[in-house]
Amino acid sequence: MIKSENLVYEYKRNISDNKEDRIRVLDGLNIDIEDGQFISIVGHNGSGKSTLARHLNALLMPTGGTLWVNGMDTSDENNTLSIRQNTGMVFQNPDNQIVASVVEEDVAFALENIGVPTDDIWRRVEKSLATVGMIKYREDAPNHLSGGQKQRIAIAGILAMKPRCIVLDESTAMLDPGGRKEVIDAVRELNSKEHINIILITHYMEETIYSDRIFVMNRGRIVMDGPPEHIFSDISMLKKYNLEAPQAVYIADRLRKEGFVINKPVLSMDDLVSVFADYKIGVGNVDRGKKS
Amino acid sequence: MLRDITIGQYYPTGSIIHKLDPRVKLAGTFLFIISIFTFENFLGYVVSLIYLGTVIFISGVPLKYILKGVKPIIFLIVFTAAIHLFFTSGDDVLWKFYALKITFTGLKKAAFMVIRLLFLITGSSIMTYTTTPNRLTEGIEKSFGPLKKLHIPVHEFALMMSLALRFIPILMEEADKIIKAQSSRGADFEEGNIFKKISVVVSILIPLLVSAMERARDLALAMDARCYHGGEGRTKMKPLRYTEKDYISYCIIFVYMVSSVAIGRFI
Ligand SMILES: Nc1ncnc2c1ncn2[C@@H]1O[C@H](COP(=O)(O)OP(=O)(O)OP(=O)(O)O)[C@@H](O)[C@H]1O
Ligand SMILES: [Mg+2]
Repeated sequence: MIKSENLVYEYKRNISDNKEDRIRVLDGLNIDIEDGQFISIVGHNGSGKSTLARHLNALLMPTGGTLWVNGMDTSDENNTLSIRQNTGMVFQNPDNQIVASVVEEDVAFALENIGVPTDDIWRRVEKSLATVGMIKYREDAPNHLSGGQKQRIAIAGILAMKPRCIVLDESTAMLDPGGRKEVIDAVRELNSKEHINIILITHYMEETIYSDRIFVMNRGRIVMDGPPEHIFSDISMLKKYNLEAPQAVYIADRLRKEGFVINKPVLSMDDLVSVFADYKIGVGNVDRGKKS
Repeated sequence: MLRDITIGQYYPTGSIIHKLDPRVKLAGTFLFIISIFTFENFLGYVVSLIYLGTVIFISGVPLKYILKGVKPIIFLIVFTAAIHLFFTSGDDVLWKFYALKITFTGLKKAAFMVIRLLFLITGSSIMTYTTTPNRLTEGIEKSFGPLKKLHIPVHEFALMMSLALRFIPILMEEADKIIKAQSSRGADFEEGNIFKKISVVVSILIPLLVSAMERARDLALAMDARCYHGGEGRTKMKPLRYTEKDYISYCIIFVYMVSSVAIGRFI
């Protein structure tokens, strides 16, 4: 469970020799995330998404307000290690977060750090690698893997800590479409099967449609919060925050304007296809209405 | 040029030497080097040659490969030999040409030097051929572990080495990309005077350095996020454990040391 009250993060910037300026990156955030949810965070560049993510596993500490992860106050340094075990983080660049030259040793890194006995390390590494479907590559060098596979290794490394939450900070940004799907499929499965809380930060709206809730951030605040159907029903509002809805939403929107009656929410191309399928067999979800 | 340096490359054959604990190989190499610098007669080197030859044979690494490691330092060997040959004073002159003279003592010293350097290189390259860099790092960390009491950051050095080993191939690949990018913009790596060449090299090094710093920053963050907090209380997935063959090897190393030094110094 993650909860914050008026979370503020400011950094100082020197304007001139003896004048300082305080820049507010997070501006009084109130969030409340229940266990087992799949949350997406979107927002244009510089809106504070990474800063928020880094607060979630105590890589940064609030300069104002409070953040609790699993009941622990993140600003208390005694909690730092437990918070980092509880909430893992996958970063953007797949290469720069792999520390070992052998896959299984990289997955073991966090366990070695928290002092898990050797036999347990082997068991947990094997299990996590199997969960992300990378057990075949356990003895390989990470350099030869694809981007999507490297990110799955990073996820396995976190999974081995038995976390309750995984934060992905634009972890799909450097991957090709195939790699992006690999990563998204992996975290969706973790969410549905192991009930691990997923916090997905992304610029690809298509990736957010499976989430329970989407947070839209703008200038250090959460300006929209709700399920995907709700968030993407308001295209003009999204536009105000420099964001776009998934392609399918626009197509459905156009179709509605053309007079098609589409009764169910459309977020993905699959949704559209099923709408057309219904239309073809005349189930009645779609009616060609008369424009007057 | 970089391709010629074979020291530090792993050559897997799955031999028993490959499977030895890295600490045994470190100690063995270290003692072997000490032994070859203590001999006073050629008989000692005969013993060393037999010993080294046997180890190479068991390791299954082709001799050709091991000798390739000598190539980059041939100049050094010739140079050291020449200095010893021409500048050793003594009465037993064999050949004289104005100020240059070769004495019997000089000849002997030069021969010793050549043998020592050859053995030094082949001896240590057999260690790196049979041990992965990571195992070697672990061996070093564990062997020098007691120095932690003197506040020498052994763990940090070992970690630094293994991270460097992990990122060398990535940075090499990146350098390759930068070189291609710069060539496509008309940079010429072959022609031009020394200053032009330097400026071309700088145009590769600077972007490489910037990217390395960026990677280092990312990596530090990722390590923090995965609970890294120094060597204190850390466990290992693959801790070094001695087995029977390691103890036997220590005995063999001991027997070699005693016999070779006895023969090399006192016969
Ligand atoms: N300690 C700091 N020093 C200087 N600038 C900072 C600091 N912390 C945050 N910033 C700035 O705050 C802003 C918000 O950063 P943040 O990385 O959280 O945004 P983001 O939403 O993740 O953006 P992006 O989509 O580009 O990743 C950026 O403009 C960043 O440069
Ligand atoms: Mg960011």
